[in-house]
Amino acid sequence: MKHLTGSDNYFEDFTPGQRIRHTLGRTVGPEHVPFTLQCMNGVPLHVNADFCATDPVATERFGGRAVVYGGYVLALVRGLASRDTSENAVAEPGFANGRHLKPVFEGDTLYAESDVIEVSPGHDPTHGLVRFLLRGINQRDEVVLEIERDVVVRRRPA
Amino acid sequence: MSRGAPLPERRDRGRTFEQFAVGQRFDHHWGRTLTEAESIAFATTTMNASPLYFNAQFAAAHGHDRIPVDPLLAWNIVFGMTVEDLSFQLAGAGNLGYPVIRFLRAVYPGDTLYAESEVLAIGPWKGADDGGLVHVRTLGRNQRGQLVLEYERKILVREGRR
Repeated sequence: MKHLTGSDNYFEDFTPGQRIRHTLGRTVGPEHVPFTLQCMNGVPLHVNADFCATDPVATERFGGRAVVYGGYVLALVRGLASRDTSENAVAEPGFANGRHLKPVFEGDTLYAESDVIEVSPGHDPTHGLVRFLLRGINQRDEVVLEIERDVVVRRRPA
Repeated sequence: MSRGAPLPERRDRGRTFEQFAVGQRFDHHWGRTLTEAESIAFATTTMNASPLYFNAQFAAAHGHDRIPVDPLLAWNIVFGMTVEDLSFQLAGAGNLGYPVIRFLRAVYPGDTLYAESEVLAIGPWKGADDGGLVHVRTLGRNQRGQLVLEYERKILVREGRR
């Protein structure tokens, strides 16, 4: 199976202090609405253009535009980072200290960066734990999301 | 053009800041069964490159009888069930942050998830004169009552209805 995944993203390839700027970018299109609804999240700020255009808070803070649901932003940014960080993942135990720093709107393009914070070899001969600081960046180079992310990554096969 | 006849007020949902209290608990509505199709679609839509979530042979080689549901999808589904109770009346974009998100047990297609929450803290939020901070812990359980995920979330909730 080792031909299915890359050879530069095994546990041994991560070193604390390393910063990876990921290749991919992703423009958020209207598909953010179906995803939000797949999660049965009906918050008007995400899915109701009439509310966004008339609600005093939505017009004052967001110019009348719908704000993309934060769970989708996190999922996209994690996806953009996945090729370099979790292609060889066997588990993703969790996240910590996550913050949305800027709203994301339809039409924005997201990029991702990962800083390696910590590597923990543990005692398992097949994998180890890597902690990243995952950052989502928009087309104006503004940080929209920051979150720590744990990934259990396979060691390089013999 | 107006429809003319007197209409009732639009029915309101969600809680404003005044309606939260520390220790308050919620058993959220609905429950949600997950499918393999939506799990693979989540991986492809979000460009997730981990074959664990879209290749059954790869998943089997790593200890899963079936393709596991991406824990981040399970989290989004649990999150969605909480919003009417917790974050329907937002001030600003609402989401101040996630202090911790932990995935405790694998979720598989066919599993049904349920959500429950407890209010850990409430308080003012600097920079927002029209809302306050509600800090919650949410648990996601499967159809056997097993804890599959837990997270904490800080929400900026509106004061008063408008």
